[in-house]
Amino acid sequence: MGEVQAGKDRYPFGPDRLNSAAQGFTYLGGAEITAANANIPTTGGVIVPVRDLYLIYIKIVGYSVAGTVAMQIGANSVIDVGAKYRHRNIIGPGGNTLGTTIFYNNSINSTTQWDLAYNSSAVAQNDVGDLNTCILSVTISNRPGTSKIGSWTQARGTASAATAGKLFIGQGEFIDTAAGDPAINCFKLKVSTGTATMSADSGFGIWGRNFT
Amino acid sequence: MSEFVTPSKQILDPRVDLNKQARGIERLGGAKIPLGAPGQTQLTAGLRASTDIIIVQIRCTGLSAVDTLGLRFNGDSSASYWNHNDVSTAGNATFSNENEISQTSVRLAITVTGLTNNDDGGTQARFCFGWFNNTAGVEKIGQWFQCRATNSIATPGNLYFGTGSWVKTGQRITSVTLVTGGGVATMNAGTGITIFGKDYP
Repeated sequence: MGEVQAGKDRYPFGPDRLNSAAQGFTYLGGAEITAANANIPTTGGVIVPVRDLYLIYIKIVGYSVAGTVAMQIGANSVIDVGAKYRHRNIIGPGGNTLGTTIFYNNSINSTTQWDLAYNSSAVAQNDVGDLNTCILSVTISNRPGTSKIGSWTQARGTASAATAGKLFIGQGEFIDTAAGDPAINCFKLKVSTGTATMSADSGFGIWGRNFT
Repeated sequence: MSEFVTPSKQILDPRVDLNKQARGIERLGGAKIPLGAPGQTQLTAGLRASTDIIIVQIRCTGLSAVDTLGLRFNGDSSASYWNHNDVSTAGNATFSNENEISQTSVRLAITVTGLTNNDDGGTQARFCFGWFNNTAGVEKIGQWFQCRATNSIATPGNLYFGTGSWVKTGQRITSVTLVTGGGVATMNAGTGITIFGKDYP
């Protein structure tokens, strides 16, 4: 078999491009559950190589009872469950309305996870999740010595072509000043609260990229 | 010289790593209206695999008449889609909301006049980036962002984002069709769609 010429690489996903400045986002790892469970992975977290920027896609097939998904992260291959997180989520109304959008806001400080969707029954846009399938994208900046800031969006189904869904966007921060804000390399998904479990085949994948 | 790689070669050749889990987001397919070709109302890209998530990038170089864009999956033009789009037009701090149900495509932007954020779709070029859950047995829920040109440095553009779904649980997405929302306007030459995807884990 002949040599592969520059620009004619027949193995575009091969290691000859790994760690290359020309490479795009690299798939670093992920997890998918094979049976209903409240956590992905079921123990510990998914450990990946450190990158400056992480891009995560999450698919939730459904929940056993009304639920929303949350994320925990950590440095040195250990998921951090301390009260080092804050998050803010905004929701736009669903149903079949037409007109000026009023977004509702739910901010939680000093908590132990990132809630990746609005999750509050306390304000006008009451939403603590439901059973329907979801897809989310999350981006996280991972600079050692500074807090880890993330932003995300979520789309959630309604299981009916006759019912339009809600819009979700959010952001959060993971602050570990006492430890020097080390680079994170560990990720875990969980249901936010309550007894809900995520349906089988729910999962997430993590891609990463250094800036140079 | 054979293009095929034997199992022993896969082990010996460090360049050969087609292990599925090591791959990044792969390109699954795409389509484009060639430059110089007549405009089209539809543009279909078949996917070479049906992955757990799909990511769609759309470049529209303009429309022949005022309209918006939509997506259909697997050629399904039945009323099996809903979409929820929000727009903030230049100068407005508020968003206007349009929820459409029982649609024949997932429409990727608001197209309602008379609201605070009046938007008829326009004819300008636009770019859209979205992603969809493609799990068997559940609806195909997705989300997107769109930006649209103004063709003037003196005119700021609108902000668009939305969510929508193809409520067919019995199929996975095997093809993606870009359509004009009203089905009358044509998309200009150079309009294209490209699709990427990934299986988990």
